[in-house]
Amino acid sequence: MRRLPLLWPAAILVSTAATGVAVLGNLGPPLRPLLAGWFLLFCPGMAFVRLLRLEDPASELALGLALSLATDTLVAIALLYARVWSAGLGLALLMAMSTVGATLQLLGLWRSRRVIARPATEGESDDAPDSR
Amino acid sequence: MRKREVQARPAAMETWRDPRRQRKEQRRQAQARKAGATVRAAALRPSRKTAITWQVILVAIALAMWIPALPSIDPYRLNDFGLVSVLSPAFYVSLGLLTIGFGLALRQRHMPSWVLLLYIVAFIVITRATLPLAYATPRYPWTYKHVGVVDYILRKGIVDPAIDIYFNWPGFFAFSALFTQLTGLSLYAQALWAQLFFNLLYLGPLLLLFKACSSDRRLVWLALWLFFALNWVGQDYYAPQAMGFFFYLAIVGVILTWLKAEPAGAESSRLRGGLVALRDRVLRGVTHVDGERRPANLTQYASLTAMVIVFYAAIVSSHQLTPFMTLASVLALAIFGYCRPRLLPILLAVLCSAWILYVAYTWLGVNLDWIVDSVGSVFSNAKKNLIDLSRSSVGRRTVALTCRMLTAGVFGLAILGAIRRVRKGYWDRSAAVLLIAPFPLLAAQSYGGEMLFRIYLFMLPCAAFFVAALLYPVEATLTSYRTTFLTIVLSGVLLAAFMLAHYGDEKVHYVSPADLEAAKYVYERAPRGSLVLTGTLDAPVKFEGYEQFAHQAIGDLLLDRGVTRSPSHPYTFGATEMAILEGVMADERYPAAYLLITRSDRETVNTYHIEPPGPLDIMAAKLLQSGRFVVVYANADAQVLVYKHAPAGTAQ
Repeated sequence: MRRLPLLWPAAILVSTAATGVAVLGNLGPPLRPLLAGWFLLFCPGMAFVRLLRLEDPASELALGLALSLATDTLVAIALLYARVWSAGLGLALLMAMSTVGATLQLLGLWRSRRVIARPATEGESDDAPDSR
Repeated sequence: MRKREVQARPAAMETWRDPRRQRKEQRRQAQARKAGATVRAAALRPSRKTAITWQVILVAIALAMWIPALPSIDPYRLNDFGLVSVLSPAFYVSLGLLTIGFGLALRQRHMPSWVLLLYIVAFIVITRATLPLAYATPRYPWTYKHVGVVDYILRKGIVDPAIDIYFNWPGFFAFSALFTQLTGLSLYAQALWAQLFFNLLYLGPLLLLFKACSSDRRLVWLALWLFFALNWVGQDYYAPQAMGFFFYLAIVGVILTWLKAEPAGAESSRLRGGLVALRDRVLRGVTHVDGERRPANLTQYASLTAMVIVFYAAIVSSHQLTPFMTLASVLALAIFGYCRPRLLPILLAVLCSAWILYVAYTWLGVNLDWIVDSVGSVFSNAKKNLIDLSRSSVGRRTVALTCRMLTAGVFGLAILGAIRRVRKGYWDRSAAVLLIAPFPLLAAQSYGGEMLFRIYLFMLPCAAFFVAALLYPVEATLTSYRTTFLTIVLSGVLLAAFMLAHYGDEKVHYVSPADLEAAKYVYERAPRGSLVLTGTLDAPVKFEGYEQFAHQAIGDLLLDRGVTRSPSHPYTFGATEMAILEGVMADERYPAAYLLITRSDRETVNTYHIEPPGPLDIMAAKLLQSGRFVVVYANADAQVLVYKHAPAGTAQ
């Protein structure tokens, strides 16, 4: 099965935006618990775990979940001990992290496509006689 | 079509003479083999599809039988055998179907992993979602204290380490507060469904861990199934340790999968070289040593090490014991050479010490004496984990003995499994190290009489692996009917023990809505600073206004005032006890004092401490007979009593 490299960064960016809207717009259940729950459990972790290119979706998912929960916990702890507790600020920090991670994933994809595309363009002329 | 093309091509007679033709012929043969395999696979496909369909239908039938079994669960009919006393036969049939189906699915080598995962998820749902669906309130009376801590954070936005131990390790509570505010889900809903949530969370890192230990899928999936069938200790509820255990699993999963040291490095010193030679002599015949899998590149290596530190930081900020359990495991892996970043345990130890000495110093300063006292008392610490069963009911004794036998039996089976693996040529070194690593902590602490069972929890992943290895010691593609039969029987026996061990104290663990109503009555009316007396410290209290009220258990109060319980009549409530209680409830330091007697507290006292049953009721009757106490609130399960000469306005 062909993997969809754009799926996760796109899902993270869309989820980040949707969670922002759901929380700031104070949407009711089931939309807000679903969106915010999904965001908190998967997005901050998957944004960075995917950068490791572990090539095993199950492992990525397990680590992404663990990293998301750890990041959420550490952000919450930091807000608590800094005495600046605010769910909005916590969400903003997690959204920023997720966006940075997803953007890095997109940049990595863009770079790798350029690297792949370059030899292919050069190779066209070499293969040309055969193709004729 | 493709097959016909392959067969139609004549075999080249002279190909072996010409290397180019030889290569071409090899390619052709490979193509033919592939085509043949495709045809065979196509021939198998209908039967495979049928098998998968039947397995999915079996899971659906099991779930369909489980749902009608839920309304029969009446917590007021629970006896000393626990939940098994109120479950309908349909529940057991559904679990039986899952066990048989899983055993059969495991033996079919073409069965996709998602079917096995479906079985395990269904198993987790049936065993961990039954009570949230049957009850309206979260289980475990002490869960309500955790709800209270999160409620405090939501109200105040800070933590006060002087309040109690929870406020010195608030990581999990801070996460839950953030989760509550962002999702809008109530704390009670989170507490109600936490057990299902955490068990589903454990799936990922456990799969990572077991896959790092063996490439035999039967062994991996059976170990996963057994973990959930053997995890009876009840540390997977709405509590910091449940989350901490998840991070522990993630840490060992990452280390064993990507950060395991190469065995070649073991011969770096003379001593190590000698040890390796000795091991090789002892384990002559061992052919499969779990060595390095999936070597990580430098970026992965550094990032995964950083990730382990992040997971550990989340553990350190959340729980008191889990950091030490994790550190013991990582240290053991590093000592035996299965954790490549050798400095990792040191980094983790620094992180743990920094938290205790810098953040939790308030709690440490008050409690250092007894912590130091219990260090080194292995036997005393172990003994504190086992209660005296001589005066318990048959049901209670059966449940307690099942817990003990299951704990010892799993460890025994794991040892047998490890021996069988070695005899078959497999030396699962890292799993063996993780199995033993938590035991030294028994020398450090009794952990309130729970250490033995916490050790069981942390050794359980590897114990489940070795118990599974007892049945599947070697990698093979075919499974005999005998092994399948034994798998089903062993799973069934362990599952029956699990139901008794995990749900045996359900009478104590159930918290009725009426109990909570009584506590709410107190919190809504009591002036700030009031005293709330309860039967035990495990009462369902503190879920509102955590810092606003003083709480004390009657047993502890009497003990503090020098009333020692005689072994034959431990809870005799006489004139001395009455005078102490009166004195405390009339104490002018408290604006008001309430005596809260809940169903849950009565069951706790009856189950764990007392014979004959009913001492809290006897006590309440004596207090009321004295004429100096009055009931200000009562419902079917709970009562609230106040002292008659309490300051005006308290007994409304």
